[in-house]
Amino acid sequence: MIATIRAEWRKNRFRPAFLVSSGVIAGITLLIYGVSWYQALHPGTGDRRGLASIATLYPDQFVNAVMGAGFPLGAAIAIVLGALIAGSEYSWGTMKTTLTQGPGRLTTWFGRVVAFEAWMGILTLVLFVVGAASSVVVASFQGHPIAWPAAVDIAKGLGAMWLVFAVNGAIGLALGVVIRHSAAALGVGLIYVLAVEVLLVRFVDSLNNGAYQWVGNLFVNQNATALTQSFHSPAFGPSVAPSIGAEQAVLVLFAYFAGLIIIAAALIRQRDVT
Amino acid sequence: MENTTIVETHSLTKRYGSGVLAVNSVDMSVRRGEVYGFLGPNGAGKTTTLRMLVGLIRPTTGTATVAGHTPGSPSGLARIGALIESPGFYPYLSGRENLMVVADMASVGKKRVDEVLDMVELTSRGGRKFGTYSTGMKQRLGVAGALLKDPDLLILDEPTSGLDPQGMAEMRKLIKDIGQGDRTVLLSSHLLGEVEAICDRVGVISNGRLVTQSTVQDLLGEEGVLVRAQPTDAAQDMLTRMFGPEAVSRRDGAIHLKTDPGKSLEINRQLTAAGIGVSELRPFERSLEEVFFQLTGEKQGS
Repeated sequence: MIATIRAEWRKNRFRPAFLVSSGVIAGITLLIYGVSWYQALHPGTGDRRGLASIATLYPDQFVNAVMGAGFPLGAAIAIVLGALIAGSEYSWGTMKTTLTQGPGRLTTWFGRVVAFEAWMGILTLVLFVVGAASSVVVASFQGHPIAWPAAVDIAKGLGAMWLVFAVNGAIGLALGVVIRHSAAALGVGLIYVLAVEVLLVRFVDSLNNGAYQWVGNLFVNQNATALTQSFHSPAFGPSVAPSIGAEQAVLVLFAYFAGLIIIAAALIRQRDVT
Repeated sequence: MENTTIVETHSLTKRYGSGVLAVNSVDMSVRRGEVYGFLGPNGAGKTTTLRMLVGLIRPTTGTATVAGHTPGSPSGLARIGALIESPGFYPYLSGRENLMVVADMASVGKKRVDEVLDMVELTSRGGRKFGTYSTGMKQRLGVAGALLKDPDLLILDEPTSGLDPQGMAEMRKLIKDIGQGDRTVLLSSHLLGEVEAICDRVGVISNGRLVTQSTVQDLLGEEGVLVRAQPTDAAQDMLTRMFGPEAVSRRDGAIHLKTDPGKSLEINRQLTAAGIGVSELRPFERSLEEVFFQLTGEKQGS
């Protein structure tokens, strides 16, 4: 397993998709901070009044602030990366190369998953580091004292964001294995997350005056939304309490993560590599 | 007693879900240390068979033992190097980095990467991205990847596919060099000249069936003498009296004699003495091409 993880790490560290996505995550975070800062300083009037409060951009709020940058856009990037990682192994013919080296199929797969999820950790760190650095810049320019959230809150935020990236990455990985083609897999993944799930949840919610809302609450990104929204403070203004608790969201997301990885593992173990 | 067979299959069969019978009850045996040519036209079942031998495809029925293990088992794969169809590498990594990835997977040291790059003469181009390689360089890197484990058995699936004549000649020389010593090479090809030039033994597969398996020499058959003479019937009668009916046959107006070509002078003398005009008298050997087309039932030149 160690050998497989090392090999996967070696091949991913220079992979353009990972480097580009790290840059995209950093860019999105900077953009959100920049736009929010401008809006906070130039609030406008009436209907054009911006919603951003300068207080949300200071370091003590950075964990809450980066959640908005990480989801859903970061999650979509995770799906793309997962689909590319798993699907391209088939289109480049590297699946047969790796599976004829000696480690078993499952060892190869789980090594790939570990290395991929480590990258999701790096993306999460990029998001948090850029968010923290941006908040320091804003605070310095505004002459606001720099105070950080409690370490435990930062750790919880990192864990939550990683889980959101990990489970969406797992969707991409599983689709890459099922479809055996990266472009098709990422297309299906993005359409599901950005359109199909939203429509299905709305439909389920509309049935019998919301009697089946609990079904909607089992969808993957309903739980990701609930988890990221659980990082909230009064500085962000009033919010509607999510119908899914953070603990439940964590459990559901872990279940999705495990389920997707195991289903893909079963397919890799059973299917012929043609 | 040491097992002299490194690949052994019994009734190996693969039927795909679509109903296509790709490999049909193949009994194949490859001996240690030989270069074995797996010969067959495109679509005959060569690649499917090789994929089963390395565990990429599971047989529908039948069994196989490769390097003493079940196909695809980690302990068996540790002793096998394989290049199946086209070389599969990451286009954004250099040749050397690709081999490092494979070496990590196979738990092979970095030193071996440089050794195999040198063996396939890619040392100076090892730093270039795989995506920029020519077809010949890609094939050579594929062979390098297969050699990383210093395997007992090297399986090469159409390694000269897509190469220009010079590339093909270089690849054949490389395979010949690799096949020296104790290493076994199982080479699939649809190129008869390639197999004839490189291989010790040959298995011919057609429509999923292994139609024959023997040494190249046995496959080509005994040597003999071809005679063209007039009148042909009289010549045939005379040669039948001299060598017996089982040694004489007639094809395309020529008489084929199963005998030592060293007897040509005696044959000529006897025929001439009997007043038979001899227009052609030469040793003959069937080409592998003739044998192949005869065995596979395909039309020559079609």
